[in-house]
Amino acid sequence: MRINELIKKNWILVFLFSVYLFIFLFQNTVSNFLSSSEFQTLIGESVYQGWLGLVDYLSAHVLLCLVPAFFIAGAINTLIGAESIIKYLSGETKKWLSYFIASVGGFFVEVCSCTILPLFAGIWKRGAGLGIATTFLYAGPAVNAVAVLLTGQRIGWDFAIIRLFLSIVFAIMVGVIMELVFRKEANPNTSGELVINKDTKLKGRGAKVFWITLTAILLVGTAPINENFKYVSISVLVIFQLFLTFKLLSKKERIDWWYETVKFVNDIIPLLLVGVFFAGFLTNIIPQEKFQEFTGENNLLTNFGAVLFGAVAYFPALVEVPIAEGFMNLGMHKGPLMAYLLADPVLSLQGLLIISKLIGKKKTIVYAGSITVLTTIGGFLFGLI
Amino acid sequence: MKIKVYGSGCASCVKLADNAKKALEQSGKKGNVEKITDFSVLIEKGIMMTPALEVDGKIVSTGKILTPDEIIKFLK
Repeated sequence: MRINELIKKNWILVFLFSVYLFIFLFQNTVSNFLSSSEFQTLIGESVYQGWLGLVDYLSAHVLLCLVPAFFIAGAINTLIGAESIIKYLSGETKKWLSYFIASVGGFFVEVCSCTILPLFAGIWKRGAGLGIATTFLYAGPAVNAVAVLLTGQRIGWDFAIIRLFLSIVFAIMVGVIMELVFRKEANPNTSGELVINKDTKLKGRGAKVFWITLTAILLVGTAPINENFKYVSISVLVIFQLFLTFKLLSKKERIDWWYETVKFVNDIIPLLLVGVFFAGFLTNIIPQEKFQEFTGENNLLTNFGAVLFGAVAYFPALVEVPIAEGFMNLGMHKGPLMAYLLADPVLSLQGLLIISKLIGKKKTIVYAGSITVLTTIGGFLFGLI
Repeated sequence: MKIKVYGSGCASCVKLADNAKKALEQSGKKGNVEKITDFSVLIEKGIMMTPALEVDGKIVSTGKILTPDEIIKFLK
């Protein structure tokens, strides 16, 4: 033990020593390799592919899909408010409804990513209990409306719809599993005491038109229709939307909405672009035949492998889409591809470590295990269609 | 005035604490701003959405990064 301690305290020296040793032993080999024309071409091509991917994502298609989505997410956060959603998770609501709302509302309640854990704990200990809290924990990153839209745009709408559907179903299933396995600690609290803000929000008939117009902009933006028609209709809808916004919302609400939307963009887009570049780069570097050998078939092993990769490789929100797109271009079968899309947002070693501090090892294992099994099977079944 | 900012250490919680300090200065009242990151305290108080703001023992806001102007209203 003492040696370990010594190493920990002097780790920088150990690190430098290792680096010097490496250079001493392998300097020539590495230099030859890095200066070889194959390597340089490979890197150059990969950078080019990364760049192409970036340009592709900055196209009108993606913008028309993402921008309205961000505005809608911002609107839901400010105008409907996380609190209205959490209200349904307080233990007073019928269980099946709570489960459903936990599975769809997760995405909209994430004000700050560090709020997920207190929220989870609150729903567990003071709200509807462990099952619904778990569904919420899963669904937050998994049932991500923007990610689903992006999946549709870049990979295919069949993928997007099934991804959305399976994520919701699995979120509920994992919640129920947790509640059943840990029945004694599930602890639903029917007194419904939750500490939340109470604000007045957009109401009335005007509200319906408001939301319908917003959704229409999104739908027209993502629909595969004639471009000219698209631009014209969107312009008309946007003007109408602006009119509604100024008529129905207070100044504060308008400002809050704007900044909430900006916050979404801020949180998601930079990392997404880095991820896109990286995905393009990686897709070029990975040898295609080898990759297809491992992932081209649909069986439980390849699906499990995809889930494992998603768990170990940590990518920020939405980045799983360009990565999956890269895999698809390299020839991954659609089964493991779906398994990856389902598992990556939810499973990360880092996340599981943090969760385990709150709920303990046993529960974390059941949680992670159920997700792994469900997503593996889900991907496999999708691959069979 | 005892002002407490509850959060788990991410940027939003830091911002709220900064805004709270500014609000306190602007209001001219005496007091201090304390940042609490201890999870068990958060859970015990029933705080579900961080960052949360507490003024003299009463939780006045959760899940929002209030501006100094908005915070001042709670200091009166």
